[in-house]
Amino acid sequence: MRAAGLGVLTSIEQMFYHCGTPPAATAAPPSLLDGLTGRAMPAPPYAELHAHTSFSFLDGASSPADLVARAVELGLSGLAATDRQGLYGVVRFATAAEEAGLHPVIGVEVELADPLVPDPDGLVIPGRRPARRGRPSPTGGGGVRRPLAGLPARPLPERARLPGHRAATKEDHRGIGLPQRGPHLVLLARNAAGYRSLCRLLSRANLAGTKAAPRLTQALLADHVEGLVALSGCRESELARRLRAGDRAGAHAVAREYARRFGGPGGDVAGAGFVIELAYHLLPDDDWLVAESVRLAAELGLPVVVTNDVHYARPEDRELHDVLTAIRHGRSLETLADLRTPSGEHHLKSAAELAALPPGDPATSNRQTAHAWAEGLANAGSLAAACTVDLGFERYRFPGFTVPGGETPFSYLVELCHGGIRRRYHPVTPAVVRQLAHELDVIERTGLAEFFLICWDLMRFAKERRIPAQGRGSAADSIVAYVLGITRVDPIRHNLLFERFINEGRTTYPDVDIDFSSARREEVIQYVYERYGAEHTGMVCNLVTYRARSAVREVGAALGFPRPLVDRVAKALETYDPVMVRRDLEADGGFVEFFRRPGEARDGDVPAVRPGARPAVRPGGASDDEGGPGDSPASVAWLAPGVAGLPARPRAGSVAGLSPWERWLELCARIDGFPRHLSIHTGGMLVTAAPLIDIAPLERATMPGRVVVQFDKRDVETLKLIKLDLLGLGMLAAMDETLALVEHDCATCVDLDRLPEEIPEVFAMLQAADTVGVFQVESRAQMQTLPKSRPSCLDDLVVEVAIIRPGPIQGNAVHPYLRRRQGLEPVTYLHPSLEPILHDSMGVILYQEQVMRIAIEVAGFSPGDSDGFRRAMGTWRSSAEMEKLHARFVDGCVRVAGMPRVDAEELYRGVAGFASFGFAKSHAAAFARTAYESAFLKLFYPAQFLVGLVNAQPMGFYPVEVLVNDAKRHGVAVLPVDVNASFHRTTTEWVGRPGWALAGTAGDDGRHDDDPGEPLPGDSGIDARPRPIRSPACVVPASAARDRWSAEGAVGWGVRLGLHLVKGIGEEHAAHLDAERARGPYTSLPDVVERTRLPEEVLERLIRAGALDSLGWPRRELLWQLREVARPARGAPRGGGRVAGRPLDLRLPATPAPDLPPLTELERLGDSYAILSLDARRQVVGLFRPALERVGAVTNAALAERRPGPVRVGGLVVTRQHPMTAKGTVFLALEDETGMVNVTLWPDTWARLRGVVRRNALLVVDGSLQRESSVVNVVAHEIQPLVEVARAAGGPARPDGVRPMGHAGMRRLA
Amino acid sequence: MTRLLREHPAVEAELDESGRLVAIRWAGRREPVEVCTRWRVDEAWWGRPIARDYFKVVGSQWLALVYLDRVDGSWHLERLYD
Repeated sequence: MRAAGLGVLTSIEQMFYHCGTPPAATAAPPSLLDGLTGRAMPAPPYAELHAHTSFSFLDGASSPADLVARAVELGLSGLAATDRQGLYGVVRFATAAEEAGLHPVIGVEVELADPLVPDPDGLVIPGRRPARRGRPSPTGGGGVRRPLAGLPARPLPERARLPGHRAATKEDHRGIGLPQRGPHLVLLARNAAGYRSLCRLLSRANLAGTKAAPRLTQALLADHVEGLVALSGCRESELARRLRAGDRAGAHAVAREYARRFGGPGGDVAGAGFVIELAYHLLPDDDWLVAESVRLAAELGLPVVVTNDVHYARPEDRELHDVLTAIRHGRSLETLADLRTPSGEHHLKSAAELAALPPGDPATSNRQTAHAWAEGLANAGSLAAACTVDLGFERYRFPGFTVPGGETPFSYLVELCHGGIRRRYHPVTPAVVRQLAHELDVIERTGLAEFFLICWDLMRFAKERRIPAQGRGSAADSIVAYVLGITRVDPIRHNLLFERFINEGRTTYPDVDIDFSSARREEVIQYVYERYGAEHTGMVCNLVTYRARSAVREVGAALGFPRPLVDRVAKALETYDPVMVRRDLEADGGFVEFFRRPGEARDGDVPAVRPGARPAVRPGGASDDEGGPGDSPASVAWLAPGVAGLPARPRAGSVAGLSPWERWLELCARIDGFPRHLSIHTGGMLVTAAPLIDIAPLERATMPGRVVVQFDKRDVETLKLIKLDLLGLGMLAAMDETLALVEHDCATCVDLDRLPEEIPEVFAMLQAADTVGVFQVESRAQMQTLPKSRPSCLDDLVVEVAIIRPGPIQGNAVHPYLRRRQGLEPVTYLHPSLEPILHDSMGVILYQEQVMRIAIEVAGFSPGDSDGFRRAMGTWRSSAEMEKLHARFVDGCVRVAGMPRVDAEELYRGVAGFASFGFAKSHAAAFARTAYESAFLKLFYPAQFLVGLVNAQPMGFYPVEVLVNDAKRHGVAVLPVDVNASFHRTTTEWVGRPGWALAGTAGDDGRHDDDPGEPLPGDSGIDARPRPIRSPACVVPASAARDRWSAEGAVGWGVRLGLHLVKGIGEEHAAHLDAERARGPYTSLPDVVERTRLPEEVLERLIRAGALDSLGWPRRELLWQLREVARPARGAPRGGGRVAGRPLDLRLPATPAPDLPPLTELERLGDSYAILSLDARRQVVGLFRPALERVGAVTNAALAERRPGPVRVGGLVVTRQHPMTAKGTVFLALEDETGMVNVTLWPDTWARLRGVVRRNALLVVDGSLQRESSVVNVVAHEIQPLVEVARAAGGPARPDGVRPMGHAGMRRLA
Repeated sequence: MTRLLREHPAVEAELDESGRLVAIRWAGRREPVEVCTRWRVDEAWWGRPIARDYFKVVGSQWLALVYLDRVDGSWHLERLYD
């Protein structure tokens, strides 16, 4: 005997573990005590058969990979992933297990909608609170059941059905604990048939229910039992619920019925269909429940298994699990008591740990229980070993492409290629024939003919329907894809390498991405459904994981931080990565108090916080978004360092000992990568030979009628199934609309396929970096390099597209190329054998194809090996593996090319350094062609191109305001939104040719820019056409070029902004508004109200945006009248009836407005920016120009002529970038009425001026002008709010609607 | 009748070689006990953590609820059943 008083901790764990000392959680060979004799016996392998991964969506706190790694550490023989209601994580789980050498078992934990045997007393599915009296439940419940005391009210669906809201598609389970929901059952797939049953069962349940709540009934389950093993489930199973409620007879009936349904007791556990699950989580009634379950199993002759209903890998992960539970229920941890898992024991345990629990101890439990516990441990391993599912679905990948009689897919492909080659090549050269024969040979041997036919068929359909489409990615390396019309890039002309796309040694599936016009992609998707059948086709899901902001918001709310503080922290973040939250906030000066160490906290700043208490939130709910933490008592309270009374021995990895602030940051980092919910992938379609329902579970997407598979892009690739990436490309939609408008406006049909590749004016524009709106080369980084690289042919543009990417910038590949391009350094090659390979890129390695060619031609690799080499260089491999490749490469260079070893080593270093950021030339070539075509349209048809871009939003790098202002600087008249002139979409409108266009070649030098030209139409809404800005960065084609490449009247077209730019007017209004517009002009405000049927707040926006100016009333009077005549958006009588007594209903004129002051220009501009985020008449900085001139600021256009040195500029921030590659440097694009300028903030400047930049849209920058080639940059030294600087110089006040950039460069609209 | 002890007075526990609870000392009395059932409470890790192992024990004169505070290793009596 010994006393265990204060301070004696050695026996803490022993209380629950009967083997003397707590078993170590390691892979030490487990040794179990025999429950009957107490003799030590060798432990059989144990496998955990009930485990939730993070793919249980907020009910699992460890990723599949973490669980697998922990299971290996603990020496488990197998592990089952039994996520809730889905197989979302099984591919990742099976892959991780395979890599770790662990036996995976695939299963699911289902929640059943009804009890197996009658449940008149509501023991299994408790009743919930019915709908309020007099409001029958729309779900048909009828409100019969009485509410049970203490149970939470279930949210009523009709609450969400406010006017204008869409019908509720999700069932809200927040606040409803597991005991109030359906009973659980665990299903494991014993074999392929079992996996099929799981997929079918889940799919049918999903399709029968709503997006968030599958409806899995007993009847459905009974139809899908083939190949499945059912475990009775956790304490929320029907069996356990009945036992706990004292209904032994019911429990018996349940067990008997499941045993009958799933295949009876069987000889041993490996053959059993239904198994009783024993779990012990140190809860008060666990001893009893285990004993009762054992007794029941013995009475019915059913086998038992021990599981631990695992929800996280390690004990300390319980904390994150609690946080996830709080997030799931939308509550804080403090208010979660009834919903949290009461026990912290749901981590993975070793066989020894489980064996040592009380049920296994003959001294504390009865002999029958102890014996069953030991048997259950052994059974778990045996049952896991009996469950084997192969996820190799490769043989099901082709859906079967129908070919004409007598043809095989390959022979048909050959025939199509021979037809296509004659269309694509004139003449057909021997090189072309050789390449085609080579590719067809490889395609035949790899059995991929059907794959090409499927792609060809899609392109054929798109062409028939005139849907713009083009293949991209490595498919463009293939001449077969080119002659079939899948891609538009000639691989012979661009010297591309087919082996990059397909080679015989390749283990992954070739990837074909096809871009379609974003406006018409849906037609193609519907075609695929029709062509291959809904049974064989599905959209791949996209797994939405936590990003920095969502992590901060949800974890912060769960930890109980006051909302204003959570908002402030979330808004301060620049990063997307939850792991980087700490670094980001440390960089933000506003949070310095929070990072103060406990001892450093200033006295008096930190009020005493009662541990665990919620600090009072400042009354009034004002946001403390602006300003430091000191301004909010609620925020300051959370500065408290740690909390007293922490565990004496906090677990390693526990966040319990951290201060609330540190805990918040730590949990944000831990939640990184956790799946939050599913959405539809942007374009991935899965097409399979076997019915899809046998391969992956299907579920409803939010989009009505759309079904997605539970696997994402990565999973589908792992399974080697066919995935077609049907992507929507906004630029294709924009160009398609541009061409249609050109045809309509100018009676000119532009065939982009036949557009000459070397139009000098287009390259002159590209060299001048006048590329706002041009595909791929419009970013600020591209604009910085274009004047240096000076592309003069399509191949140069291919380089440009490939080089300005994070990888080459990080790998220092950009500067050598640019220097060589500018003639600043000679073009040299390490060895003559490299010259033919690197000639295109002036000796610099730029493309993945070049790496492969070097491996093949210089180092003597086979084509298949060269692809493996390329991929090995680009991803992490073990050092031994890399060393092997290194030696082979160097030896090859010495042997094959006769290269000195030292050069071979240098070449290897160059190749290895490049490979991490490689880019396929084929991909760049496909994009470069589109870039060239869009540049052509921008130059010669700027009005039509602007309309295309505006209507295809969201797309591209810049917001609409930048596109509009850029077009105006090129002389395009942009006309304001007007209900009597605008259609729903933005359109072109004839405004007459400007004076400079009528002056012919005499107008090219700018002397005729002020000539009025043809008179503006009276209803244009503008006073004069914009004058083109003549600066090196703004290219207006000369009249000779226009005569040659565009239609005569092209410059006479302006752009009328559409009503769609006004918030609240969507696609659903388009047909009606356009029809009303065609009926005739609106004559008065009541007329507008009556005919448009728009709600009051939208009409108010129209008035404030100036769209009703053409009615002839001042805006303030219109707003006055609106209150009387408009339909209220909310509170309107149902059925669309009118509110009686309004002047409109009584056909009375509205009350005349009193004398109201007219709108000032500042107010007008502010309103325009607030509603449309742009103004057709003027750029906002123009308003401040006189004041800016007084303080010595110059225009952006003038910078081109200015010498390097100190400079002051003022402008509106249109983009703000923090590239990861720039190591903390921030780039702003500052726009004024004459153009844009790049402003660079070095990290220390950014740290100092971050607050000013983030909080102000309009800035004055004092810095130094730098010039390199013709690229102009301002390096900021000091930044001030433009409005304050201008006000001090007698300028106007701040226009209210102009708002600062939000996160990710988005400007918030009113 | 049950007495809930508001202050949860500290008690001394005696364990055997296997770490099993066999007796309790309180107010100068030693009571040999047998454990009827046990459970663990692990709560409020984000505030003032509660980490306790509860034991419902029966002795010759007592039916009591005691717990081991896993934060500081002390034993306490929470409830006495008369």
